[in-house]
Order: sequence, then structure tokens, then C-alpha cells
Amino acid sequence: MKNKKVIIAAILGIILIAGIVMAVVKGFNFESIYTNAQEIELRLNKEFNINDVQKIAQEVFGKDVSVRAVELYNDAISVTSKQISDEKKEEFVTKINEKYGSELKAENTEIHTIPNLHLKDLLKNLILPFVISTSLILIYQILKYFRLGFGKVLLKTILALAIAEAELMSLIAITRFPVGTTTIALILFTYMFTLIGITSKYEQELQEIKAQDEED
Amino acid sequence: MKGSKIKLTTIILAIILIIMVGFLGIYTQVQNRMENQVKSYTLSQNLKGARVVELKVSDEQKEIVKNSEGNEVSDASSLTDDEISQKGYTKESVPENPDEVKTKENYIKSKEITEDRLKELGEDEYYVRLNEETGSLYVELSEDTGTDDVVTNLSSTSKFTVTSELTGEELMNNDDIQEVSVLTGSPSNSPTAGTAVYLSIQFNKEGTKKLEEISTKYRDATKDTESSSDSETSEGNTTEENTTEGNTTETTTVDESGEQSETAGNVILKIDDEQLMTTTFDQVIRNGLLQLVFGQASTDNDVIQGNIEKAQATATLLRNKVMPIKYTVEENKFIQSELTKENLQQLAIVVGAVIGVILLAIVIKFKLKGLLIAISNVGLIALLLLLVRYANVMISFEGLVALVVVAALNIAFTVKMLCLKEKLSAKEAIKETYKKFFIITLPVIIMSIVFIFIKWVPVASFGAVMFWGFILIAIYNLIFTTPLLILSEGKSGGVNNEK
Repeated sequence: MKNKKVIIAAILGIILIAGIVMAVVKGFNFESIYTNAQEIELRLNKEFNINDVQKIAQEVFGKDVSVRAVELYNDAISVTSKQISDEKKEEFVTKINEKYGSELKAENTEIHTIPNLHLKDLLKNLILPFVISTSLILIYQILKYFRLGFGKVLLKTILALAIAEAELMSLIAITRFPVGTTTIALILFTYMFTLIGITSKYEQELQEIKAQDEED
Repeated sequence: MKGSKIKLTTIILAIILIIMVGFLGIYTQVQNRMENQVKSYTLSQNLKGARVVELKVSDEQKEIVKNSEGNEVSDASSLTDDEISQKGYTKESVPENPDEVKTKENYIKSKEITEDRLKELGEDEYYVRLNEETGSLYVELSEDTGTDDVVTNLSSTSKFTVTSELTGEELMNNDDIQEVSVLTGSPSNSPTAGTAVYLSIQFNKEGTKKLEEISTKYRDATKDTESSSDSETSEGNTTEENTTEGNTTETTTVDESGEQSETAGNVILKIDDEQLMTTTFDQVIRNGLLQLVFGQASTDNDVIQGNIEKAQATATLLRNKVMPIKYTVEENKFIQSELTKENLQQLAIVVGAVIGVILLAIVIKFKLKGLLIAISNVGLIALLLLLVRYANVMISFEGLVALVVVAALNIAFTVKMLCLKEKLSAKEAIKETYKKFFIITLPVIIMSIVFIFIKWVPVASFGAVMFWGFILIAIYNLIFTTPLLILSEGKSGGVNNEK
């Protein structure tokens, strides 16, 4: 049992250190719409299939490219990629012209630079909800599981939540999982899952104490 | 026995009905086409798309007119070139943003002010990116009916000035403002005109002193100040008795039609270099409170609401700091989400398939009871889909994840109930399941309640879906799942039940 705990702690420690190293050395892998990127906009003036355009964009710019429709009429597209050179732009416009019979000219298509969205700008929105809910949950847990020890419950809950989120961010950094659309959902899910896990552990420990009391 | 069969069939049919309405909708014919009568989902930015606005540091030139003393003449827009030279004024062309203001520090400050404005304007999901080299701001906002107004306010510098018309001297500015609010009331000079909207500016200590001096110096000498609270003075410059929340406060209201004093002239009130009004004062203002009429008094609710919204937007601008940089709107477009309808459908199919496999495993393990539990679980998902639509929950990607979590939690809840039923009586199993489930998930319920009150959509959406999910798990299972299990007793021939 003790060995198992040591092994788990060691694995978690290794993941955490590797994640920190990766985040410091290489940073996070942001989705193109969340990083310093470049964008071109094409007005086709005819309906297009976004999946077809996406395929063409991936052929030209590589996998990390975002294709979105502009306005509601599905006749203009915005293509965002980390780097759009004039050659790539020309190649893309040519392929789009071939596909849709349009007569767009690359020289009329301007490359816009989009500044990055700082991770801290995204994460700062989580501070207030996490602080309030964790405080209320701690009060509940301390009152409900006071027999397990005030300090133990307080520390264990805070540590569990902090470690779980740190492990998540480490895994994101190590696996180069794109930071963007899914990140907040993953953070919220991890928070919720950890709360359920830690509470069921406390409940189990409390039942054991109660059973022990009954035996005595 | 027959009665329980009917009850069982009724419950199953009711669940099937919920499933059909929740997943497919209710279609009726509207002008030769079938229209779903079930409310649509309210989608957030990451599912629907966002308004993208690019604010560029203005490189335009502006023309200013200076008097012989070198001071800028505030009200020179109406002067012709001849009039300018006749008065001894000179015209100069200066950049909107001189080089000395184009600093990284000012760019960062502009980004922060933009974020503050968006927050005050009630935007619940926005992202502001800054290009630190060029100072350009790239703003993403939720698209709704008020987005255009918000965009209009973004490029404003919100510079408030009170200047002398004659000398061009700046008498007051944003630094003198303490608080700005919007009030409504009936104008005392025309109580039957309807409701007027006022922008109420409360100046700070320094500003109050300045306002007193200005209102003394630029007072209209032709008017009787002492009796002004009762009498209607000329051209609409009146002293109002405004009652706000039961407190009567005597304040001075000025409007655009003030007469020019023959002594010190008029003062010009400007916001963002745009002239709001030229006026004189009826009386000396000692309480530091200035109320400006916004639009015309009206009895039409739409007109009043429009005036309130305009006044609120101006109040928001004045409450925040002055933008150190003048921006122009370079781009303003709606960009749809990267997650297209097809992507979401594919995602739904994958998630549905996973849930389907889990439910199939339950059917195989628990036979008839498993089948009833599976139907009940699908019913809960359908009902939750209806509930989030009618509860106006904004669905974001995080909300979708919460939907899946609720489905998983309900599967766990019902399987636990089935497992306990193998050992305990139906009632005991139900009681025990509820107790254990809600003790363990109570922290998550607390979390979801807190999240509902957070303004940021991803968190609020996750919280709201979880909250309604828990309510449904508690009520729906009591109404549908537990009777299903109890009524199926006789059919499956349970042995350990109702001990």
C-alpha cells in the first residue's frame, strides 16, 4: 500500500517536473487562433463548403490552420495560421480559384497580423469562481468531516485541487495538446472530478471511523 | 398487476415523448414550411462565432484653430477660412496621436481601459489582444443586438472637457469627475412632456470647487438666480427638483439651448472632442452635481429606453479613464466559430455512441431493469436539453462538456440504484442511492451554484448546465426512474425486494 503511494507520487512528480521543463523551454502549443498569427480573408461571393476549404488550407499551410466563415452568408472565409508567406497565400488563392471558379487575386488579399491572447488573460477569469467555490466547499468539508481533522481536510483538499490542475497543465505541455477551445473545459472538468474524488475518499474514511466506533 | 402494467407503459410512453420532443422537436406548418416550435439553444461565442473588431492607432491628422495667444479655439468648426484670418486665428494640422503618446506603456493602458469599458458595458465574454509593437487592439465580442453600440464606444477616447468658448481655456476635465450615473424624471418646466433622461455627473472635491467658480463666472446675468428653483427660466436652462429614491436633491440642469452671457461668454461641454452643448449657468452650483438632459422627454418607452442606453454608454465612458491613444475602427466583422454545425453533429454522434455502448452494457447485465434504466437515462438527457433551452442557459463548449458529465453522473446514479436493489428493498435502495450520491456530489453542487453567478460565459455555462442537471437527477429519477424500478419488480420477479 505504501509502495503504491510512493510509485504514484513519483509518477506525478515526474509528470509535473517534465511539464514545467516543457512549458519553460518550449511553452504551450497554442491553437493558431490563440497565438501570434496571420490571417487572410477571401470574399468568394458564392457559397462554399467549409470542410473543402479546410482541406485546401491544410494542404497549403499545414495542419495548424483555422478556417472560419465570415459573416452569416457563407460567401467569405477567414484563414488563420501561425505564418502566412506571400508564396503560400498565392498558392492558396490559386487553389481556391480552381475549386470555385473564382477570380480572386493574391495581390489584393492582405495579410493581417493578429496578436496573441495571453494565457493569463484567459485564466484570470477562473480565479474568482475558483476562490469563492473552493472556500465554500472547504467550509462544508471541514464541518462535515471534522472527525478527520481540520488541518488534514483543509490541506488535503487544497493540495489535491492544486496538484490535479498542475498535472493537467503539465500533461498539456508534455503532449503538446493544443491550448485553446478545450482548455477551460478540461480545467473545469478536472476541478469537478477532483472534488468528487476527494469527497468520496473523505466519506470512506468517515465511514471507517464510524464502523470502528461501533465495534468499540 | 394490470394497474402496474398500465402505469409502467404510461411512464415509458411519457419518457419516449420527452425523448422525441427533446431530440427532434415539435414541428408545425408555418407559411408552407415546417418550423420547430421548441425554443432554440442560446449559443456562446465559441460555438456561434464572435464579432471581431480591430482598433488601429489613428495616424490621421486633425486641424486645430489657435487664437493669437496660441490657445486652441474650441468652437472653430463653424468658422470659414476668411473668418479665421479676420479674427487673427491660425489653422494648424497636427497628428491625432503625436509620437510621444505612441508608447508601449500607453498601448497597455489602452488595452486595460478597453477591458474595463467592456466589463462596465455588461459584456459577458470578451477577449482583447494587443499588438505591443503597433498598439493595435484586436477585440472579440459576443454578437447580439447591442454589439454595434459597444463597438461605437470602443474607439472613443472618452475625454470630457469643459472649456471657455471665448478663450478656449480648459476649465474642467475627467480628473474632476467622481461619479457618473443615469437618472430619469419629469422635467419641471414641462411635467406633461413625459420622462426625461439625465446624465448626472458628480464632481470630486476639486471639481466641485471648479464648478462653483465656473458657474459663478459663466452665469447668465439676465436670470434671477435665487428664484430659479420655482420659475421657468428662458431657453430651457432650469433648476430641477429631482427625486431619486425618495431623496430630493436640488441640482442644476442645463441643456443645449443656453443663451450667451454678455460677460464671460459660454462654456462648451465636450465628450471625445464632440460638442455636447454650449451653455451658461442659471445659478451658482455648490454641490458639484451637474445634470445633463439626454434627448427629448418622451412618453414612448422605446424612446426613453434608447435615451437611457445612450446615457448609460456615455456614463460608462466617463467612469473609466481617458484613452491615451486615439483609435480608429479598422475592421468590424462577424467570424463564425471554428466548430461548425457539422463538427458539433459529429461530436454528438461520437458522444451518443459512447453513451449508447455504456447503456447497452447495462441492458445486457441487468436485462429488463437495465433496459428501463437505459430508456430513463436517455429521457433525462432529452429533458435536460429542453430545460437548458427554456432556462435561457447560454451553451458554450464548456456547457456541452457539462451535459456529458450530467449524463455520466446519472448513469452512475441509476446503476448504483440497481446494484443496491440487488441487496436491499426498492425503497431502501432508492433512499441509500440518493443519500450517497448527494453527499459525494454536494461540493460539485456548491461549485455549480457559485459558477452560475459568474459573468464569464464558459464558467457560467458549465455551472448552469451542471446545476440544472443535478436538479433533474434529483426530481426526474424520483418521478420516472424509481417508479419504473418498483413497477418492474413483478415483471422481472425480483427476490430480494420489499423485505
